[in-house]
Amino acid sequence: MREVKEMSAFDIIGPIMIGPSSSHTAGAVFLGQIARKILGVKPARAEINLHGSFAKTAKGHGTDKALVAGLLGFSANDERIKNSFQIAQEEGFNYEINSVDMGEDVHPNSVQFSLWGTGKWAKVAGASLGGGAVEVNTVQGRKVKFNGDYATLLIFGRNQPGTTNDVTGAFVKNKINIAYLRVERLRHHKEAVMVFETDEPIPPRGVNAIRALPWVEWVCQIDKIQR
Amino acid sequence: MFESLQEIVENAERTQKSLAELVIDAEKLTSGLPTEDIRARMLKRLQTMQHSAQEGLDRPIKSISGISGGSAHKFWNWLDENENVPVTGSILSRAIARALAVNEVNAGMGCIVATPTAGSAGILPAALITLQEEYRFSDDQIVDALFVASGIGMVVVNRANVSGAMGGCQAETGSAAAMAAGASVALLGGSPCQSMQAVGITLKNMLGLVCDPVAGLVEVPCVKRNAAGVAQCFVAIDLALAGVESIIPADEVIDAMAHIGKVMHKDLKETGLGGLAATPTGRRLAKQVWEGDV
Repeated sequence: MREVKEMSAFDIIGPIMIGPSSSHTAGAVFLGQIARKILGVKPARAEINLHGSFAKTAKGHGTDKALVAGLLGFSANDERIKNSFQIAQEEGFNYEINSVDMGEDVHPNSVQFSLWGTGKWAKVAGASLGGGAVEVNTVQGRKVKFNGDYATLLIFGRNQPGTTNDVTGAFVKNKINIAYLRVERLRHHKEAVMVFETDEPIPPRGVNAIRALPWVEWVCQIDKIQR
Repeated sequence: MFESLQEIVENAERTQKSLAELVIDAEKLTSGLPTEDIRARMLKRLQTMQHSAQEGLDRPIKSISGISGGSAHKFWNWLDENENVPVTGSILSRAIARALAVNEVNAGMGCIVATPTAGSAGILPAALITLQEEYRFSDDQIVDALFVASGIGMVVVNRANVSGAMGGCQAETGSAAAMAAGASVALLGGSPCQSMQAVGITLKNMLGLVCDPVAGLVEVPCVKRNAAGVAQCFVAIDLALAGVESIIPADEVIDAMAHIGKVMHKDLKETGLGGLAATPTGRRLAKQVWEGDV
């Protein structure tokens, strides 16, 4: 049996994007956007490490400019992407781009961000899978997995009975439909990592309610990628 | 519905709906959006295509790597001089110019619509915008054609793929040209069956095309492969409208493309290791780009 994917006409005719490559340019913008969302504020400083094909062909594909553009909050069809280095400089955003070897099993189009903004930091790693599709692999050192095609809520906290219930309760209260849910336990089951992918983002009030739960240590809401 | 082109044709014949209507119906189901919103979204894409095609004709555009650019503008100016008579004729020559233009805008970090990919983004706009110019089609009619193209593209994705890294250039420019041919036949008043004949003929003629980009960049040979892709598309449009059929049905041609992509050597699938990328000039250009010496 052939696997039939549910597709939109706009997956074929689209995205509207700045060239030259959906994987090396548009995907890079999306990864930058997600990293910025995780930081939660405008980044003041960034260290960007590129792996594999991302490192090798960054200049020719404008991957470097696209990543910085994403961190500046630009969309993938923003004509300013070409000038993102200059705009970053004007806005006082300092970044450093380096090549790293993340290992043989790591996707060739991978990037690691370390970001700092007013009172906040973030470490995010992900890959651009082709056609503008992306995947985030680690956030703040924890393994996660999401693709930005849904509003995504990340929760890190102490693992204890009833945690999932607490969060789904908040979703029900806000009438939000959950598309995917992943829960993992780390560090000898002491820590819980939850990834909720939903049709609509949970309103700030709802996020704050989750943040106030006694077992929750870190929460972040990431908007759906605008394609 | 998007598993087979044959099924789509049968569906169109049974329901007496156009191919565009069938694709829009399906989009309404998956997105939950009303027809006006779906059409408006496609119109926005058409406007971006029109803009990028014009941009690449109006001025010479250099790629960000610096190794290519300016050919669309050069060709357009050449066409404009009265004493020059293109052997490709008035319509195809203008489509060739637009295919080059969109892909040069892409390589220069301008705004394009991936159709279905960025590397093959010149073909569909070149075909449709040139037909629009020649026959005065409305934007609404071109939007319909874009839905037909996307329906064909979805079948290609379901049966094969549209990625150079997985299937070679045949999967990118081949799929784009096939989509453009099927959409153009529908636009020019051909039957759904004739649209699919055009898809089959186009893709057959582009089977086996490898993805061998110099320095791994979307420039050499991608820009000119877009020009060739629109020419292949036009060959198939006329044949299909004349009632010529693809002896191998379009669905089977797509399956053949999937198989060829599978057995194609990895050096010829977007790795920048084989083919044109491995020529002395290809290697020299790659070295220039990677060492920042352009």
